[in-house]
Amino acid sequence: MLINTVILLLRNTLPIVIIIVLLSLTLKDYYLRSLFKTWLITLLFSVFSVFFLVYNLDNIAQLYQGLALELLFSLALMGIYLLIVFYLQQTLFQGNKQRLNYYAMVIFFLVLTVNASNFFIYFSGFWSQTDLQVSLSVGMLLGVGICLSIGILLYFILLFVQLKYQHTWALLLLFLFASGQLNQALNLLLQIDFLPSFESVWDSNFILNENSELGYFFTALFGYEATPSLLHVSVYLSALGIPLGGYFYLIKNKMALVKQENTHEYS
Amino acid sequence: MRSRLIINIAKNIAVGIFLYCGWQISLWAKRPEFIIHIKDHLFYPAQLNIPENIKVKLIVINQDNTPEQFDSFDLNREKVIFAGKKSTIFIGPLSSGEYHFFGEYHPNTARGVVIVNSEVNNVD
Repeated sequence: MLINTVILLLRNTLPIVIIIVLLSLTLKDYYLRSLFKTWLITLLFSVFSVFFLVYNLDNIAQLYQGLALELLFSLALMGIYLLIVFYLQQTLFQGNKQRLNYYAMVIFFLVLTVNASNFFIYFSGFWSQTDLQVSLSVGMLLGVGICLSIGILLYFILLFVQLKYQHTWALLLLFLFASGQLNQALNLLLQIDFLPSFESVWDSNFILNENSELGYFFTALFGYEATPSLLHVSVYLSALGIPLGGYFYLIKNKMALVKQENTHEYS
Repeated sequence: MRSRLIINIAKNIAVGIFLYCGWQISLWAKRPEFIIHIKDHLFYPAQLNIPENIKVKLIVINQDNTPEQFDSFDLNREKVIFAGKKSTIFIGPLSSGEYHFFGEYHPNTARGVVIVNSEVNNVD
């Protein structure tokens, strides 16, 4: 039970830790401090929604022929993807800072709610058994410790890279994280037969086992899938390619506008 | 002008998705059904034979008073089955072979395997 708690906590908490690291790095110069109160309210609201879901998920799960949970979570995951795409657009084109902050809050809320509620279903299901409470508590402490260590390490590595090479790797990772979330939504929709299933195109378990600590980390970071189907690969590539095309289009338009303005000034 | 075009495209996509979902749901009833029970943190049956290249509906009934998570890396499936409740998971179409699954909350005891065999015809 102890090891199981640590593993489950790692799997469900890593995405939360990663999104906190990536958002805090990309929001660094903006409103993070000045909107501390709003962030606190977002956190409290997220915690409240996690508890609400944990105590009602068993009833929600029975709706729609027992497939409501997948629909709910896949919508939330698709929402995370879209919000991150808009968030990145606002960051890259230095859009409205307040809007950027609100996007970040909703992303944080959704990631926390989806992942934490998954873990607390397990936790609340076994907490009533008094003989398991010690294992659960120690497992949780160990898991939180490991997750915090990974988060701090990731934060400082990304900060170091950002300061030394002037590269915003956090933005790239955020983009990959978003595509990973979309792939998870795809998995849920495949599970409830909303999408057609295909055979997997490769099996990379011999390189990196999906059921290993590093596998969990990469799954949380960029949606690593050891046995993806053609649909997974196409959705993942489209999830990266379409917004990138959009960003380049916007950059091109912006540059053309600047060029036009310069020509007007000279003439 | 351009925004109206985008709205129209979005509307058409939404209608398309809606129709597709309706068609997909209509297929649910036609899928062959298999039932697995969870009792005392064990799967019954622990070995399930299903036909090759057919998508099947797996109904998992949890008879324990604690939740269990049906998990399989081979099948790419993960679903919480709440205490005393049942849930549906669709698997396949699969080629011949063995696909392992386990209960993530009790991985040492709750273990099972889906065996896909071309000789399995009786899917009722």
